[in-house]
Amino acid sequence: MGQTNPPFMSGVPELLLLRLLAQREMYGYELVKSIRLVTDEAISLGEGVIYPVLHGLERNGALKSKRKAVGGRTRVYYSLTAKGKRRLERLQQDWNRIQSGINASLDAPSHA
Amino acid sequence: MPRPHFDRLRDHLLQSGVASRHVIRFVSELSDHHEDLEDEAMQYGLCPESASTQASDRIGSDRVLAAGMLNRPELKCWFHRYPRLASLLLPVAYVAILPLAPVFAGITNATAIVRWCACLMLSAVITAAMLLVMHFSIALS
Repeated sequence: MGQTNPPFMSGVPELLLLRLLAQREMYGYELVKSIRLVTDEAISLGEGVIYPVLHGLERNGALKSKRKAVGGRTRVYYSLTAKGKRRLERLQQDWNRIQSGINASLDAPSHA
Repeated sequence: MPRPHFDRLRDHLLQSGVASRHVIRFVSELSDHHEDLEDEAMQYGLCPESASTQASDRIGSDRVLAAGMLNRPELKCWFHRYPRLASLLLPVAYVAILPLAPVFAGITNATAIVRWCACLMLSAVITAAMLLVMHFSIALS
């Protein structure tokens, strides 16, 4: 299992959650499992930490939630709104830019 | 049913100004998540006690969970987000609703008030009856 929450990971949970919720609605435990699966366990969040992120995204209008009774338990399912889709696009662009910058710096010949 | 562990977290978040609707849902989601983790661990052959311990470790400590909520100002009550506005508006609001306090008190304690009124009426009837008896006894003597 990967290390959790280094400071550099700030903003990554939000991007991952929006990306997964763009595919289908999910509840917290499902989201954590999906993150572990799609990142091949490279990114492992403190599992309870995703809920403040989800609540914050919902408060900002990027997500909406609804309760559903599944298997005798009431689950809170989250899904993406139109605002959330725009936010995801912007975050993906930011991430791609950062990634390109880091790759360029790693590929550059060393001056040391 | 939230575990005592989450009850403490809930109290801490409420005292720190996080909006109650977020706190209640957060605790409920954590509780469900914990149960899911326990089920998952037991599927891998762990005993219920070990499964519960592992689930608690994976879900995170109270400190980490609380920090996640407290670091998001948008999840706080409006009077914790705008304390200056609240210090201005809340006294005005309290003064405005002060005259309505007896009405609200009456509504919330309607049963007791009805009981008191019934007792007062009964005692008035008894007093009137006693006075009537006294009056007739004096008149007839």
